[in-house]
Amino acid sequence: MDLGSINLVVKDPDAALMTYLKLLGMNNVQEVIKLKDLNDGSETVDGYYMKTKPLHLGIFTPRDSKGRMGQFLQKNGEGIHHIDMFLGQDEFEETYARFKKEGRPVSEKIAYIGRFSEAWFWLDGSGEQGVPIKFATKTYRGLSMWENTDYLDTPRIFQKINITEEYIRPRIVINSIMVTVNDWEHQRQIWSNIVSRPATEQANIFTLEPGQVDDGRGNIFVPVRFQFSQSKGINLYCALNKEAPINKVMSRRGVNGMFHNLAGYVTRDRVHEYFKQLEEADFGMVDPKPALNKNKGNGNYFFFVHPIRTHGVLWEFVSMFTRGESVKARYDWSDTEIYMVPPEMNK
Amino acid sequence: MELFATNKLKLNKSVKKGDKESLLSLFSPEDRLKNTKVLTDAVENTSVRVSLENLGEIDLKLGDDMEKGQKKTLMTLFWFNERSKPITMMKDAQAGEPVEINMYKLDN
Repeated sequence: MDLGSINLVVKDPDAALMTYLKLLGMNNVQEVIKLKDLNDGSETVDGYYMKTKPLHLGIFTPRDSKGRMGQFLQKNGEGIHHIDMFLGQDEFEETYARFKKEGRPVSEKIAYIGRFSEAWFWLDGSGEQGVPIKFATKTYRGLSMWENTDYLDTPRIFQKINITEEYIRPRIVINSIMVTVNDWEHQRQIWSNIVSRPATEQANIFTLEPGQVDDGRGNIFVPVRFQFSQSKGINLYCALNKEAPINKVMSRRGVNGMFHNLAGYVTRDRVHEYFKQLEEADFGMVDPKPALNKNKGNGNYFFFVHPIRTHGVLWEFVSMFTRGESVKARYDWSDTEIYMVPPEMNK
Repeated sequence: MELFATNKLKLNKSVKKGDKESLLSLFSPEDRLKNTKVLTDAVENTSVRVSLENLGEIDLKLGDDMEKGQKKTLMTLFWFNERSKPITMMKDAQAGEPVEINMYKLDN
């Protein structure tokens, strides 16, 4: 199982695509696929699928407000709707059966997306994990649960599109999504069970020591991470102080969990340059400049972009680092050109 | 005092004389991200008197070096700790009322 994509629900997919090309830069988007009439048996959407490394970004607009994305848009407005987990077909079939056995609210039927020979099912946001998750596979043979599958001739139109807008940015890697939850005792185990891997402590990203983090904006939380390939991950945050802003937002929405923000990582010597580029492009910068994270020797710069200008998504950009199999962070100096001491000294 | 920047925003909530508010609580995110033009150069940590038309005023420190002509917002002028500092309201005012904000550079 791997974390595959982040998917947004927006009002106008064309406008959102332009926003995201401008935010991320065309040089960081390898391909854009236009999708029309993508129907999974429960909802029809139109939009774009942006191939970025290592996580893809889907931008979708539902045709009406009856389906899960439509209801979300009507209730919460634009924003992060769901994540896609990618699985091999055998694991996909096992996972569907396992979730059903565990009583999780999965789609009644598997959706077979005919024109891509892909299949998926939903783990509904009403489940104990608190957010919608889609589990998808590329099939290599007929589905064993074919009797419980909707075979759909969809999407009606799909095509790669040529991008003509010119926005060039430093190298940006999208590989993390932050999820907030309000039941610390159980959520860590619930998520671990769903994504089939243990949580790793993240109070110190280099040593993985457990602990609390104070973000300086009223949230005192315990972070853990579920790690996937290519440094991708889901960070789970639970605020310990009741009055924490992240708890207030969940309470206002009446949910136990929500997708809080996305994180992108930027070439280390170009974080400030990127900040200026976004500021000049009228993105909603949340602070005067990138902040230097001094927490437990973190040493990374970071800054936020307000969701008002990014179709409901709070973005955090951080100096580039990677995580190996141990999940411990290590600064990533690839692409960095300006320095006094060469990065090769650590080889 | 040298005029540093001006802006006109709308109150996001009704306030009463004596209330403690802040730039964050008084204005909506849209307004906090409304551009204003910097009128004079200033370096990081320069004190700026933020005067909210008859409502109150507070001295805040700039979060970065600023150059004349740059576009800035309440968010990019001041760090969170500054823009969340309490300002005592000098009079009652209703949500939606426009407020002229004048910012003056206090030190060189």
